[in-house]
Amino acid sequence: MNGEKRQPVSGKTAATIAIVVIVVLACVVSFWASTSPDGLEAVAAKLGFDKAEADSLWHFAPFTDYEGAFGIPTWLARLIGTGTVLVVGALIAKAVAHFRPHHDSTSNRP
Amino acid sequence: MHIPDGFLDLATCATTGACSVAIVGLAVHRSKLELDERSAPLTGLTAAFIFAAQMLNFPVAAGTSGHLIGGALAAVLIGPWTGILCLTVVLLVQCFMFTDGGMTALGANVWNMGIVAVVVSYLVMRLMLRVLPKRTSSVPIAAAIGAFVSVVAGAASFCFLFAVGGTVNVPLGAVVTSMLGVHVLIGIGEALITGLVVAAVLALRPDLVAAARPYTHIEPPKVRIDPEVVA
Repeated sequence: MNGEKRQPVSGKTAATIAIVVIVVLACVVSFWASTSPDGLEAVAAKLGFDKAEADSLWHFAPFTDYEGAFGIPTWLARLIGTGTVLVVGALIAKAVAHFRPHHDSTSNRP
Repeated sequence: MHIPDGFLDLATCATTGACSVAIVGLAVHRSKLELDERSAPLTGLTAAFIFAAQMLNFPVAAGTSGHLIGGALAAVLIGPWTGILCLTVVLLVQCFMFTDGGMTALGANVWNMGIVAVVVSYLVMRLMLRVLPKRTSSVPIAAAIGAFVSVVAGAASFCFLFAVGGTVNVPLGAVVTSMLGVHVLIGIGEALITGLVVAAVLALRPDLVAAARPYTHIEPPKVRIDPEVVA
């Protein structure tokens, strides 16, 4: 674009790199994640309030605890979740941007 | 740091839910100023990266792990208001597709990780950018410091909610000491990941880092112009 600095990589290359990194993290590296309880779970167990944890009230989650189900392998379940976040996030941003005020359009009026 | 069902009473869940809905609604309104249609893919990619990275628990102490929250990363890349929307999408999908975080505690989780973490990290980052040298390389450092503080702030926010509406009677001092102690360690991991990712994005596409625009002298995304006006 005129007047803008040349970027080290094109938008398409940057998006490709980002998608590859995200897919590798979600579908490969996540299998090496620590299975130890996270900070809150560890503190709850240490102080004894973990017993207050109730079974989830939401019974329609397809992939409990990020594991595969219905014949779908775990890596694909995680990929589906990642793809869902990507698409929903982008669509919401696009919808919000659609209602952005058009400052330039008013200033350009004759 | 996802709160499951049962840790907080219904009044606290309802109150945090109402507050979160209000702030997310405000974020929808204010993010219009941060977004254009060109930046929509970046928002989706940021949310997807945070979702994937949150599955990668790293060990922080014997028998304890932590994971990225991503509030600082979202705030530095796409701005605080869009960052709140980003984290909200991540938490919604985690709750309803993967039962990570309770449904009744969804408002509290959005409050701690989607609002407190994003807002605190953004404010700390802005403060650090005033103090640090005015150059691009200061941005990853400021983001990392913001990320560290955001994790501790999220943990402190949980302590407050648990003190107000916890369902089990536990000495508050013990909760605060334990939560802050372990989340200081997790915050170091959050700071390292955030700093490295921001540095990598700056190296590849500095125009995609919202917080770096004052230093890169790259114009923000153009506002769309009505075709009829151009004609």
